[in-house]
Amino acid sequence: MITLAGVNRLYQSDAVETTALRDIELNVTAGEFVAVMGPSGSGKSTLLNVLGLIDRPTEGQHLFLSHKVSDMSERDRAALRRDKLGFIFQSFNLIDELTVAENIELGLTYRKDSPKNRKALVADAMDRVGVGHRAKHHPHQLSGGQQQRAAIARAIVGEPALLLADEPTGNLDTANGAQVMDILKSLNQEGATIVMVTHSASQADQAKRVVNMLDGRIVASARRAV
Amino acid sequence: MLKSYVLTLYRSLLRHKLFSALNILGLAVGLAVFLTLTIATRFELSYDRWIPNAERTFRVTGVMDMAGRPREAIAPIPGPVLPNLRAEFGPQIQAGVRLLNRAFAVRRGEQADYEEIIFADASFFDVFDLPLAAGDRAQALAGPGKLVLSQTAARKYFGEANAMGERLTLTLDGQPRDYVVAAVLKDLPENTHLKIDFLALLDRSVLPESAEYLDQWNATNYLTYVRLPRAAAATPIDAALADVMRRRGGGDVHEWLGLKLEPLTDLHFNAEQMGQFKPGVDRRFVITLQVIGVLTLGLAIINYVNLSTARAVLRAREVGLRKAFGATRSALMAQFLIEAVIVSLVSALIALALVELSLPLVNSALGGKLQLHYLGADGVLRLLIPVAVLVGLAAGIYPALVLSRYEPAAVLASAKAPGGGRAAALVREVLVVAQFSVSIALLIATAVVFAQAQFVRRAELGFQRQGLIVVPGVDGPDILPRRDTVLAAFRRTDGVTSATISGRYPGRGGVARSTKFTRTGSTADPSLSMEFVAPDYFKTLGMGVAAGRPLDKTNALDDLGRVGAADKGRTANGVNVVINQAAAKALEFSTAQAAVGQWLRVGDDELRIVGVMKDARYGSPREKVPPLVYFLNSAPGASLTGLETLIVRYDGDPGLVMERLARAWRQTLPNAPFKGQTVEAALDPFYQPDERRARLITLGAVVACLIGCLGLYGLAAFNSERRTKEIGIRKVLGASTADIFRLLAGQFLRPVLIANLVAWPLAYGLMREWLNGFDQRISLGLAYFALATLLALLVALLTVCGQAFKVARADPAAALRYE
Repeated sequence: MITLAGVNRLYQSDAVETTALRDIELNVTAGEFVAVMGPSGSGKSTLLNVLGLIDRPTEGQHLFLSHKVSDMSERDRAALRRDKLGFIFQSFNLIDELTVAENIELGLTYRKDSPKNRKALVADAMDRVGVGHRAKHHPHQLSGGQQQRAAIARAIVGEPALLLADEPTGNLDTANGAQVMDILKSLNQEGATIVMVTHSASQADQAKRVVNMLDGRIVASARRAV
Repeated sequence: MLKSYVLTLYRSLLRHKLFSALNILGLAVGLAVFLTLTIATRFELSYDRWIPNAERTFRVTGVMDMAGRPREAIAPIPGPVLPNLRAEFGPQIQAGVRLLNRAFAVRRGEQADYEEIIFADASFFDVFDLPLAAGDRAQALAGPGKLVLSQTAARKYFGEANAMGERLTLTLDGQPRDYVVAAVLKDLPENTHLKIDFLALLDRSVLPESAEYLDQWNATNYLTYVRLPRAAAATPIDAALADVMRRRGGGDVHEWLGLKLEPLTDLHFNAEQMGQFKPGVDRRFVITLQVIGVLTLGLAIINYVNLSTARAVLRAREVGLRKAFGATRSALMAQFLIEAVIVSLVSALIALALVELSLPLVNSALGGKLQLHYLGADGVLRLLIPVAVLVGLAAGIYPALVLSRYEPAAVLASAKAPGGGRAAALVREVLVVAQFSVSIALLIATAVVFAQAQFVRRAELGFQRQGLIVVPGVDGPDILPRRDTVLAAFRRTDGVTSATISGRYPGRGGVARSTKFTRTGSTADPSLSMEFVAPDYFKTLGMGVAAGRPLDKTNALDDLGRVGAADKGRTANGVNVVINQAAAKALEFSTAQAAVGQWLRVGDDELRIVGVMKDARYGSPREKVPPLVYFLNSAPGASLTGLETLIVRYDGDPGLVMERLARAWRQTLPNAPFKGQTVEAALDPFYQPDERRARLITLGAVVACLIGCLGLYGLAAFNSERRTKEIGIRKVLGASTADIFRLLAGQFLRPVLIANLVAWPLAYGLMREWLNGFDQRISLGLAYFALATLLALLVALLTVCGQAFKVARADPAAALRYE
């Protein structure tokens, strides 16, 4: 599903050049659940951004669902994000001005689905993560756990091919964190491909494969028996 | 503490250069416009206030109400009014003076020119205590041979030499008379309704023709002023005037002339009164100026509030920290208010510079003589400093309230900046709507005012205005005998295609007097003015025919000179006349054609209408064309109305033709000044005031739009920044650049669209009222409104476009990194 070959990502600011990713080689097949681990500044989030088509490699090849996405126009990449990708962030990134239901619906509106179809999909996604009773609330009226579950609903409502999660439990307490991990695991069992960045070894243990990063390089990749 | 505030403000301003620049510049422009318009308003309001006892000096003015004519406010009134007021009210009239304003030739040696001579009662200086540069006010008007000159007039005829005791020859009603300069009047400042360069005693011996009117109630010639013991004394006198006229007035004067006392300080605001020294200005125009000034300042304050509350979000962390370290809410409010006042004072400084820079431009655009005084009673600093402090407080209070309300824990805990919530967003939107309402209303006004100015410049006047030269000043006994020689010389002049004589001409549209006519076989008996013209009049003017035919000198019945009455102002039984469309209407003919062949009666004479001419507009587009009856008189040397003017139609270069005419004039009348001018130049004074106003409104509209756009730009920049995260999320979820652009641009165009709902009715009401002041006017079409709205939308779109596009294109990863 994903192939990264010789991918480098450099950031240039004024005089300083930072290399966030170096010679990344990575393959992810459909149905995998990959945990990316590493200390702060190791390039985890950059890797996730590249995989999520919200950042471009400076060098190297990036194939996603057989598309050569590294050379694609921004318009086509936006369309791929819309149709094939789902994001979950550490800080939830829900839009304050919109209700829970509207937040979840947001990605669908860019797909130009019919309103009736959208409503059905949104209701279904809310039920799957258990925030249906909060549909009309605004994000700031929800607990952290509820916000993250709403964010997960938003990520999965469009049936994406790939789910990207950036420290999804980082802002949550243990109980809520466990709940989120359970949702992710069940999504994976239902067939979703997931790449998740995490600091927590115990959570990484729940993935099928762990990729370790240090200073922008992948230093180890281990497949685990779950 | 204050030091800390100032330092924080300074750094904050530096850090957010764009916002600071928008804030300070917006406020400075607003203050500059306010200041300029306030100076202009003050100037208009200062008219005549400097004259000693101005508050208890009044002019007795008239309102003429004649059948068939619109009511007309006139400044000059009959001569017997003043003596009768004195007799009636005794010591209540402390002083009074009558002024007669006539143009006569003034000569010193070879130098000669027509000058406006003011003939005044000897009591002139009792009423107008004007400062003299030389001479004694008791002696200045002590006899009929004495003349008072203004400094300018003295310089014109005597250069730098002392004018006192020198001689000038005035040709009065054809008689040359020597005058001795007995006093020199200091030049009057601009802000007075008076215009006095030559002042002489009003005396029966020197003005036989005009003096005969001194005792007549049916002629209105004298500007009449009275000084009362107190201002309040005017009320009972004013109330008694109608009764005094009925008891003392001669003939039927009380039926057609009403009198009232007008305060000296109000005279400048008589925009429509006839027979004044200078055209007045409409008080509504002065009020409009001040309102535009205040509105512009209001817009600038709104801008400040909008930008500050928007930017407040960026300063939330500072507020949180200050609170965490013990600042109270009131201390924070004080901080933000002090900041606003400092910003306002800085803006005021820039505003002063802007006014200094723009005043020459404003003066040349408006034809004014405005000056900026800093110190003193009318100094601008006395106005500006309190206004700047007030503006600072007004602009700062809302941001201060919003900013100081932040809860420290909430602000510090989250990296997020509070947006001020839905209420604040609503307030900002309402403010932008207000700004654009004013901008769009002013844009509509600009479009309408310009269209109207263009319209009256190009509108049909009933005659062909191009290729005409008028040469006034062929009246008076000394010139009259040679008038036909000059006319013949003009007709022979190279480039002249035809020439004629008449009393009214383009540039002098007023009528001498009107007479009751009755239409045979009808009850219609309107007052119409008689117009006596020489042959070729209609051809020379290029006057359009509405029905029938113009008068023709080859037809004996068309010519008063041949029918029998060659005398001035006389008609003759059975003579043919033509009337204009206004007269046809006043005579209640259903169409122009219906009037042809009908008979009129005036006195004992029956007149036959052979044609109806188009209404020829010789004066202001604001005034109605008077109803006229034209008589043709071809008798050589016939005095037509006593105010004769030569009218010449020419081909080719007007400068060359003018030179040749001047040469021809000098050969026949070597001692009389030649005063020719093109009709375009003669008509100009009637169009200029409205064109100046158009420029002023345009200025206001441009500035209002500019400030509105500054505000919109700042808001767009701020909102784009604040919504960076949201936009990042939307892009991650698959929104394309176009989706985001539509979202942002749409958000900012909405208030502009809503603003139309306010602006349209407002502009419609104001502009309809303004257009009603014109007799000749455009209709208030939808196009002006649509145009203004489109322009505002376009400007707004351009303003937010850059911002929206930049943000829409931004890398979502970069956007989300803000977290």
